Parts: sequence; structure tokens; C-alpha cells
Amino acid sequence: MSSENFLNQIISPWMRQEGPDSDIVMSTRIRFARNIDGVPFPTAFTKEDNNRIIQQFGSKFANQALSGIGNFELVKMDSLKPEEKQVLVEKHLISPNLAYQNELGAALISVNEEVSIMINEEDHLRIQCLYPGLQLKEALEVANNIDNWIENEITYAFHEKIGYLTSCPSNVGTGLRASIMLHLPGIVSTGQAERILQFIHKMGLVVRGVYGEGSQSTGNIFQISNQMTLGKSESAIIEDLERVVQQILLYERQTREASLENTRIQLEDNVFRSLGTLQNARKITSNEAAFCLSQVRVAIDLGVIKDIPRNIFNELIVAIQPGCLQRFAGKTLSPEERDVFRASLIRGRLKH
Amino acid sequence: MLCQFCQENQATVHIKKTINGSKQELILCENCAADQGHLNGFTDPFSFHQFVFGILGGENQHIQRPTVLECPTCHLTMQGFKETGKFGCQNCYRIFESQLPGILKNFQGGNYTHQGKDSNRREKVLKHQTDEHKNIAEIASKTGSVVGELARLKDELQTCIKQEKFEKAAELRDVIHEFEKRLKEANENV
Repeated sequence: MSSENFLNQIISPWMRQEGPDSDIVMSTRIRFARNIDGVPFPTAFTKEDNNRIIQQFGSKFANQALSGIGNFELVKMDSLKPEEKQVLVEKHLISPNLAYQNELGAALISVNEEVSIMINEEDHLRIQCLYPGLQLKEALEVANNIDNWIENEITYAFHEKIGYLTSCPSNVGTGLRASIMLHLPGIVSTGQAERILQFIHKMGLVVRGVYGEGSQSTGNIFQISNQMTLGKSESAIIEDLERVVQQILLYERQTREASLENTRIQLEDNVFRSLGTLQNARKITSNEAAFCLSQVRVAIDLGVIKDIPRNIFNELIVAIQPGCLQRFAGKTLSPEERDVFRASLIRGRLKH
Repeated sequence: MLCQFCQENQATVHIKKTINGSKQELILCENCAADQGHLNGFTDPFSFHQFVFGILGGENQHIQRPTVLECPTCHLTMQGFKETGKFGCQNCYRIFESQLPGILKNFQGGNYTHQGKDSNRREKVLKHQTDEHKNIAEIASKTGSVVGELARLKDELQTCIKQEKFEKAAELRDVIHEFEKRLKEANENV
């Protein structure tokens, strides 16, 4: 299969679209944590509880259409192969926890892959919406609609003072986690990223790598989200996050422009060397690929490279992960084999 | 003379106490006396609170360590929560209510009131609770929730004592007595 056809199949439709501030913001994610009234949380429930919830939830919502979203499909964790789960994790449709902790749980995933409802991860329900670019209000509105759609059928565990109850008190109240995935090569190149990220942390926000808690930042990609879920309304939470993100965008753009103005030859040299690596390498590690892709992406944003579409970066960052590569190869790969397939996938996509 | 408690070491400490009018004498070795918090006297807030708890706690004449609070629904204890950082069910939030401010401060930076969407659920939950408390006999039929509520009240009482809110503690003691009395009556009527 050609790289392009493969990517058409594997990449979620929303990842190919451009959203507001797509030059820096890769995606917006809104997540609600909810539990069903009267049933122990997944941290303490029985296998029977698990099966009953999936069955009830599946029969109510699977193959149902919600206006603006379309149909949902129920995917049970015990019916998936490990490599299939890995692809869902790499596409951010399920969490590593749901995929690998046990065989329990399921996910209701919309056909357009914008919405995923994880069942029996740490909480009974984790409603998640994914959007390209910076679209916090839009994503929150959609997540709210889905939440209301479910609440019409199911009574949630709710406390009169502290709101929606969750297994971990870090999610209690609104149950809302809003995350923005940012590509920040400019800020990283100034050597100030560490200081800025520490300050952001003091503002009550959390900074993480691409794949959530504890993951490393690769390819200058950072995920910023709210830490507190209680004591503020949903709209106040996303407004506070948006304010910080806007400031980061401003600073990132300034540093990008400055490097173009002051060190253009150096920048071009770095960028075209990276492009050369991507177009010619016969084997490449995911770290090196992420580094080169990040450089090429900034060059596209700055107009230094004009003939390569921008969304290639978003696509390939996901596609060069082990799970997706093994899908591309159609077999299980050793790390060395992955490097070869990764190089071949990237070469194929950049050839026009 | 040997220590009354360990029956091994020579007793060197003689303690006389009067709790709720009943006299108590203890003859202990230094180690046991220290273990039970007697040597620090009233300078150690822990033993002072134990002392007050002995009075306000009601039925127990002697000083005792508080029993471990456990959620009747999912059997989680505070120790269990501290290990995982996760509650087992929604009832945990009521059972461990007295510990919530500390927990929420760690996780949520000290904001304790939900300001977000509630789809009119706040009123519904409150009404549900008032209905539930209206008839004590009705609650008594749901043994689990009564035992849990009683445990929660006792835990709250202990917290009040620790925080030296003695008026509130005295009120709670009365509530607990009333609760136990009516629970006993309800059980006899069943």
C-alpha cells in the first residue's frame, strides 16, 4: 500500500483539517469524567458491574446517531488485539490505561473519530471531544451536548456541594479536563521553555508530553491542560486556559519571526538538512523523525518551504508511532525493522 | 511490681485519672506509658484530644484509639485511599467527608464548591437527602447506610475535637446519642 493511501485510512479525518491557530495549535481536547449513580467506581467494582455497564451503555448508545456527530460504534477491550489497541492510543481515541491495565472496559467511538467515550477506565465514563486547532468553546459545547444526551438516560453520581463525583478527587466537580496540544519549536529554541513551562505550572495548569501523564515531549510538542476541576465553572476553566495559550501563541510567533529575520541562513540550513534526512533516510528513529518533522513544519508555517502541505506534520507524528507503523507493515516489527518502515513511510509521503 | 500492660518490665509510672466520674488507676512501665501517650501529659495535643474524646465520645470510660473508618459500600479505608489516591465509590465522599477539605486542598488547591453545570441536580440530590433523613426507621432498614452515617458522624466528632471545636463536638455527641437511641428503637420495632 502507498504511504498516502495508508495515511488516508489511518489518520482521523479531523487531523487533516485546519482549525484556528493551526500553525501552532495541533489539537483541542475536552474531556468530562462521569460516574453512574449507585454503582461502585471501576477502581472497586466487580467484573459483573463492568459487563453490565458496557452492555447497558452499548445497547442505549451504540449505533445511535447524535446530530452533528453521527454514529457511534462500541469497541470492547477484550475483543481487540494489543496492536489494535495501540493504534487507538496513538490516535488519542483511548488512554494507555484503558488499553493496557486489564481486559475490562470499552469505548464508544464516533465514526468521524471526533468523539470517544471511554467506558470503565478510571471512571465509568470519560467523554472526550477532539478538534483541530484552538477551539475550546466549540469543543466544550459539543462535549456538553453529548453529556446531556447521556444524562437524559443515565443518572450520574453527583454531590450537592462538590458536583460530579469521580474516582480520583483530582477530577471531582466539573470533571472537565481541557487540553491543548501545542507545537513550540520557537520557544524551545530560545532555551526559555523550561522557565515558561514552570510559570505555567504555577498558574494552575499542567504541561505534559504528547501521550499524557508522565510522557516525554518529542518533536517540541507540549500538551497544556487545566489542573483544577472544582471551584470554577466550565467556561471559566476554558477561559483561563485560553488566556495562557494566547500568550504562548504570541511569544511563539515572535520568536519564529525573529529567527527568520536574524538568522535566516542558519534556519534554512537546518530546515533543508532535516528535509533531506526525511526524504532520503533508509532508517530513522522516532525521536529523530519527530525532530526533523518539527523543523520542516516550522519552515512550512514561515513560508520557507512552500510545496509541502502543512498537515503532513500532524499526520506523520501519529503515523510514525510503533502501533501505526505495524499496521502499515501488516506485521509485528522489531525496533530495528520499525526504523526501516518509518523511513520508508515518510519518504513515500514526501514524494510528489 | 510489673507493668500492668506488658507484664514484663518494672512499673515506674503511676497514673490516676477520673473520667466521667469513674476513677482509673494505671501502673505502667516507662515504655508502655509513653506508647499510650501518658508521659507527655497535656502538652501533647494528641493525648489531650484523646482525653476529650474519652469524655465526649460517650459510652467508653477508658481511653481508646479510634476505630478505623471503612466505607460500608466498597470497604475502602483512609489507608487504602492514601495508597492509591482513588475512592472506590460515591459513598466514600460521604464517609470520609471530614477528611475531604485536606484531600481537596491537595488536589484542587482549596476550592471546595462546585460552580459548574448541575442540570438542576443539586436540588434533586438535596431533596433526596432530606427525604432520606425524614424517617429514621426507614434508614435503619438500610443497615449499611446507617452504619456508615454513624461512623461518619463519629469521625466528624473526632475531627472537631482535634480542631478544638468543643461546642460543635458536644452538639455532635448529642446527635450521635439521639441517632443511636432511635436506631435501637427502630431495630426493636422491626
